Amino acid sequence: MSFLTLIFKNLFRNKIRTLLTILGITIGIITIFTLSSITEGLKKGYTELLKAGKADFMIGQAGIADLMFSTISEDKAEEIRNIEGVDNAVGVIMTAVPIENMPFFVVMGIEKEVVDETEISGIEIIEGQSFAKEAENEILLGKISAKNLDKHIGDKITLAGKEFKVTGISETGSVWQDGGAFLSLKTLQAMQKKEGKITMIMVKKDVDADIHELTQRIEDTYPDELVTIKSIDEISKVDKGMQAIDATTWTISLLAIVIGGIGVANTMIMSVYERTREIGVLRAVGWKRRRIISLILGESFFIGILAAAVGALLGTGVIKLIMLVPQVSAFLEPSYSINIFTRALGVALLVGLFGGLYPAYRASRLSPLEALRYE
Amino acid sequence: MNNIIEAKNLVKTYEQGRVRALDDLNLEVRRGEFVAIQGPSGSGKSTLLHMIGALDRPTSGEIFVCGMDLTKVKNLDEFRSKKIGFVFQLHNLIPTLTALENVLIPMFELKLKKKEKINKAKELLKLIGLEKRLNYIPPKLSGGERERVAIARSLANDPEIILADEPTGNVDSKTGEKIICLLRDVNKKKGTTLVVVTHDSVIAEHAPRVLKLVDGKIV
Ligand SMILES: Nc1ncnc2c1ncn2[C@@H]1O[C@H](COP(=O)(O)OP(=O)(O)OP(=O)(O)O)[C@@H](O)[C@H]1O
Ligand SMILES: [Mg+2]
Repeated sequence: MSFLTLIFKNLFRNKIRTLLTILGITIGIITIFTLSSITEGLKKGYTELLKAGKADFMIGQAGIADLMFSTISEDKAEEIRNIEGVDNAVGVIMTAVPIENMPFFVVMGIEKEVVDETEISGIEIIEGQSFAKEAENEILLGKISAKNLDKHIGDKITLAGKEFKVTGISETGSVWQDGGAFLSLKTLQAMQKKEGKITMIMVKKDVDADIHELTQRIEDTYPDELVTIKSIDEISKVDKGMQAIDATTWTISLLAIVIGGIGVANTMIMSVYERTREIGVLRAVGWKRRRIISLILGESFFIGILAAAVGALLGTGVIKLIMLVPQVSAFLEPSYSINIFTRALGVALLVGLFGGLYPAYRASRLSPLEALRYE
Repeated sequence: MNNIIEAKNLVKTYEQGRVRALDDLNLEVRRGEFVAIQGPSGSGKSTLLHMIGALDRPTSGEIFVCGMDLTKVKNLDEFRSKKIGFVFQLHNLIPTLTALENVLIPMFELKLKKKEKINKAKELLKLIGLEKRLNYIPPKLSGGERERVAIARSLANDPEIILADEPTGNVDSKTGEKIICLLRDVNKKKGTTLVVVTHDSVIAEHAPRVLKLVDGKIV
């Protein structure tokens, strides 16, 4: 019999109590797991968007809460293009509009020449062709949305109350773009009553230009006006919402540790109390204090590990359920990175440690004699 | 030193000195001896065993066990784990573990291979005649069988001394005699020093030397 077997056997003495304790932690773990995989999914969405084209970085408006609110004057794209070290810069407008029965459909307004002649946008037309220049009622549909909405070339589609004809199907590799559509820049500006405005600028630098120096120079030239986004780590410059979810996740993690820890502590104190005599026997047959501590901590750690496993399993289930809602699955692809599992396991182990410390200390302080006398 | 246990003017008081459980007690036990300690309830028999087994420290006096001054030994856990085997009045087995696993419990502190430990535990259970009950948990064993498992457990760490506190307290007289004979066999075969506390004269008669304890003194 190994020490681990002993720990395991002890845990299953009172199955219901152990199960309830595990469940108490599991609820926290599920929440953490679900929220984390949603933020990771959002981050992935941004990463794909950033990596979709051949742009080296993007420029958005400074000090905004969400990229969708970013508003820059169209002239800025021209100004940026003339900055030294910039090869090309194109402005695009991006927005979310309701379509048919979906409330969230990403539409990007972009100039036809940019789609057809440059690689900066990363748009690949896999069927049909791009909309005509400044066409008022033509649309290039992403391949995921084409499939979801069951639309083909020549079909009609109603977007924010306006009818469009599908001229082509596109692919960029970004869920948001492939699950959305492209229109002519002018058309979308007019629809949004944002003539002369764009959401962001996609920039391709000269081959020999230093990206850090270049982005810094741009930000210095337009302080409090423009921000540059080179990588996913800088996305919080234009998306405070994700920061908020991140903060929430951490707060919940902390709460889960505290609440779960109290639950584990309660269970373990009870269990130590019930086994007072037995602990006395173990000490009498020569077990050192340290081994008693290992036993109790081992038990509470194991509760944590089991909770992590159950939490990850149920968390995956909860996410699957959320994904059944088409409005959500259209723009969110949950991510189960190793990071999330590590976080769930980390929290669960902390809960085990946190909850087991005091009971283990108590158990180790029991005098063998008093414990043996205990009825 | 031929004496494996030597106590001089041993005093143990409780309740700030109001209870004198051991009162100037002197005791010498030779290596390999089998001693029974008899005495009325409350005379200090258990207290004396706890002093010898290093479960507690005396209030004053000297106590040497296996050549060690127990008033000075720092790590009593280690001392117990190496030198002492306990058999308690209530068998005190772990109810969820099998007979075999219960015997393995003291071996956690030993540096033996897993296989060796298991073989040894099996051997001990065979010695006490329970080789057919290896995988029984205590609730499925009779009172006498449990007490025998407790004896096997007390032998698990190859102790120099076995201290048994009323090992026959909870079984009928016939089973009680079987148990005491078993302990006597262990004493003979292995040469383990044996100190058995009992208030039963029939049981005590099996021991070559019987000590009487009254009011914390040997008389
Ligand atoms: N922890 C303690 N606190 C206070 N008094 C104690 C304690 N332990 C033992 N005593 C007292 O010391 C005396 C001797 O107790 P001990 O348990 O050694 O008796 P005993 O001879 O083993 O009795 P029995 O045959 O009933 O087991 C008793 O009067 C008891 O009340
Ligand atoms: Mg007693």
